[in-house]
Amino acid sequence: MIKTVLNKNVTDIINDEDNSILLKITVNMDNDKRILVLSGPIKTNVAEAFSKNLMEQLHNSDKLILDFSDVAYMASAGLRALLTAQQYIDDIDNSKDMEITNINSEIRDVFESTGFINILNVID
Amino acid sequence: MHWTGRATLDEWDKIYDIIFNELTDHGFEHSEIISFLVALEEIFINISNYAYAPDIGNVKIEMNVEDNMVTVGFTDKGKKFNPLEIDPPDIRAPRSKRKPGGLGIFISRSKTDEMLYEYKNNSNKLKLIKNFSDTKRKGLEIYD
Repeated sequence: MIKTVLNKNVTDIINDEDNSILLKITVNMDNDKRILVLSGPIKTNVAEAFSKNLMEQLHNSDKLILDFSDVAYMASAGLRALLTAQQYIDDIDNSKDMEITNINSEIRDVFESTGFINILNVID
Repeated sequence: MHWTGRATLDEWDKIYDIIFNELTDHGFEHSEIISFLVALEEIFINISNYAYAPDIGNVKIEMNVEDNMVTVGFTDKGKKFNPLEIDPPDIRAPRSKRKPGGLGIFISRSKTDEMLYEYKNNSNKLKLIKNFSDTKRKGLEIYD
């Protein structure tokens, strides 16, 4: 089973059962804003833990900035995680905000072909 | 490349590495390989989640590389399912109405040049075909 190790201040690591790192989430806290630097491919096997982490971060801050500069690969399960967070903001608590930044052309392509580019707050 | 095994998330991780390495050895561009792997993952996950649900079954994966054309075939003996008949998601729907499902197949189709389906011998047979660009390979040939 995948487990998430929460090291409160700096980095959250999503591991698989052999403890190899699947996705690293470095959290920089700046007042009510959190910058999440994601590092690793967002495959289906990390998406659930990623989604949980994202929601937790969202509950604990007013604004999330997701830095995708070190994410080359994202499956649709990763998109679903982003959609869940965005719909929480839109439908339940719109005092919150989430921005996505530094996406590569591959992920931009997925955002555009799925229309997610209009749903998510993507900043160039 | 031929591989037969259980359609589970853990297995996908192994296949990802095998395919990534094989296509890298062929000299294809990293970004194109990544893009194709996303397409393949969506199909694999779909088989994993639905073909034998609630059980888990086997899937056979075969990859052929002919010049720049890469063909990957998936064969499973699960429920009959033709992904080419699935409607694309409504990408113009307002955010709150967007549903989380139906994206995988759509992404997969948008990242391949051709997708072929047939149901034969009680098996779903799906082929994904992608034509890779040949810039890097031409470079390799010159220095061979």
